[in-house]
Amino acid sequence: MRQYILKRVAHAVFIMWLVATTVFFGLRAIPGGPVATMLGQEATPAAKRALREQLGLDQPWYVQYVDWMVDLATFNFGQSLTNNQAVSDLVMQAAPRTLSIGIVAVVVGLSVAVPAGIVSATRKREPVDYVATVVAFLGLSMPAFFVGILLALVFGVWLDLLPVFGYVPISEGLVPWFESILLPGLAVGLPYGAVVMRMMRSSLLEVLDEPYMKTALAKGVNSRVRLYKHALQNALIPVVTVAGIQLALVLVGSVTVELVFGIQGLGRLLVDSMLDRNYPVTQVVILLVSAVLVFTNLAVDLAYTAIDPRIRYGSESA
Amino acid sequence: MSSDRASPSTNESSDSTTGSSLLEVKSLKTQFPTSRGTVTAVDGVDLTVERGEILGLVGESGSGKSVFAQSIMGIVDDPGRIVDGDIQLAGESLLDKSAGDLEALRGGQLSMIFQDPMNSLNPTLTVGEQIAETVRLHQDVGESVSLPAELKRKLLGATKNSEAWRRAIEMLEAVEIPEAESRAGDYPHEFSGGMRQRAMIAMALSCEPDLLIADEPTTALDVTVQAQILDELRDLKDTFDTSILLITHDLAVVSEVCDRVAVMYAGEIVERASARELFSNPQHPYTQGLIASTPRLDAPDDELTPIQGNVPDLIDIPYACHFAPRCPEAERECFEVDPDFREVGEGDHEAACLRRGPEERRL
Repeated sequence: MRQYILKRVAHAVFIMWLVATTVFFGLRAIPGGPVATMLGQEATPAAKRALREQLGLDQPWYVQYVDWMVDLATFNFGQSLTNNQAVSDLVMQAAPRTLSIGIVAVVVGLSVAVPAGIVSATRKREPVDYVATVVAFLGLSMPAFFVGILLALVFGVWLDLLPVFGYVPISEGLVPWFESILLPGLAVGLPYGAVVMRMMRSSLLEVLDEPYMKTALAKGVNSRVRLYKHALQNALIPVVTVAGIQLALVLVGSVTVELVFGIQGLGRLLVDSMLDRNYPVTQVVILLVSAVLVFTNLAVDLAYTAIDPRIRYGSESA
Repeated sequence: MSSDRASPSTNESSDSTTGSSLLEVKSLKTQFPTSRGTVTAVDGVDLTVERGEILGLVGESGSGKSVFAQSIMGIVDDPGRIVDGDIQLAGESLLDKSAGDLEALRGGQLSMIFQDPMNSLNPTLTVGEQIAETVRLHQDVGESVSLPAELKRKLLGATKNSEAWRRAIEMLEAVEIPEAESRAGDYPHEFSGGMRQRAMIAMALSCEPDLLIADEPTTALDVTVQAQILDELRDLKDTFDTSILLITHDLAVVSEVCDRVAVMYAGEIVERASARELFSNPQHPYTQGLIASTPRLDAPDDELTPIQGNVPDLIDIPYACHFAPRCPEAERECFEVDPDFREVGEGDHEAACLRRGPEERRL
């Protein structure tokens, strides 16, 4: 198991390197560049050259690439091209906001979706199932930012219950913080929860049809124990996969939802930096996001060993 | 097959009880409403299982054998319903019992093993726990079976020195699982197919049921393992004083282990006899066809004669004898008059065919 984890971490590092390389060259392949963006079309060639030199963009690409790799390896993420702030500061400022939204989305999504999926499957074709299904399909078919606009309209404008703009750091109080991220969290969480809920439902329905459920019935196990002891763990296996992979949906969702709610999170930072061709910032944000995804997938794979006794990694199983 | 086994003691065991049959099924009818019409999977079946005997129920796939078994267990899949008839276990009607009473009965007095040992054990519970659970449910071992208690057990693992766990190990030993004590903590995927079916048998017998229903217990197994499992079933029947209803499509299995045999075709029983009588003197044209279409080791040169046609869809069969369209001897009356059971040989050998029985009643 330990060997397996080490192998997977090494694998993850390799993937991060691939991502970093792709981002490095991808960004530079986009027409324009920080110099053109910062100085505008009418800048003199001399000014341009001066700025390029200052930003280190006059170096050959392989020098820049090696510099970037060395910086990454030493966790020196450089400075923003536009305002000379340390990239790590910018990211540290934005990340908690996105993280807050993401946590609300995942917690709300999972805590609603899993029970809803169970109820939906055990009461198939009853009114509850239809209601849950309709809500899930709404969630699946509406992008997060649109859900965000609707939520802002209903809870912020019409009912005037929650703020619709800005972020309050957790240091200024738990309640204001929670109020400021609840709506964006819900907006991101609904599509996420919808996917998980549908998976939970279909997976549980499939498991309830398995021969071993008939065995449990035939040996006199009552329906509640059958559901929670015999069926649920088996049904959760694919749900964990989906819940892990769909975290990407949460990250993508929060980029747009942050714009709707005027929150300066990672999504906002990423979009702005790309428009400015602010290479160092874009690179680090993309790397951070992909690191989150890579390591969630690793966590999901490790979670399997707890849920499915058939899965054992490494050579420990004799 | 080893030969040092006591011959089935049908007579002894039935004498030792009140004399009534263990299981008595009377004109049982189980139907499934579907969008294409009503499927009558079991169509007026009469069957008795005596104490201590192994009754074989033979038929092709789709003849309604499994639905019949599930009807007795009360576990017919939705939307199937028992619409007519009665099932009596030791003189008590199962159809009158409440859901709770039936739950207590299933796995206790009445238990079942299934065709597919690969998928009939829960992959997320240890084999020992699956047996121990049955014990906890049906025997007074002083261990709670409430949902919280079961979930706690699932998360923390069952205590290895509990009464139920010890019983599970005993049962695994009884079905000859080597190193039962350590294997009990294994998950089903760590068992071979034959071992899984043994574990299923251990589970089904753990509460010493009066009746064990074995639905194609050896179909999914290698031939060598089949023989072992059948041997074991026969031994265990005596050890645990259990009657067995053995459902199979395999005539070799029937001739190997059964005392009596009932032949089922398209939801109906067509012939009943002792196993010896049935094979030496098959009477119903379907049984004759079935035996003629089975390869025989002792006469390998005989040509096999398949029965023409297929088992009909069990939806609204419009003719009286369900076998008539495939029957080489069918007359017009066979399609119009419901066949009744006639005496066709020794020892309660009966067949439901208009063209059999005493001369004066034959068509």
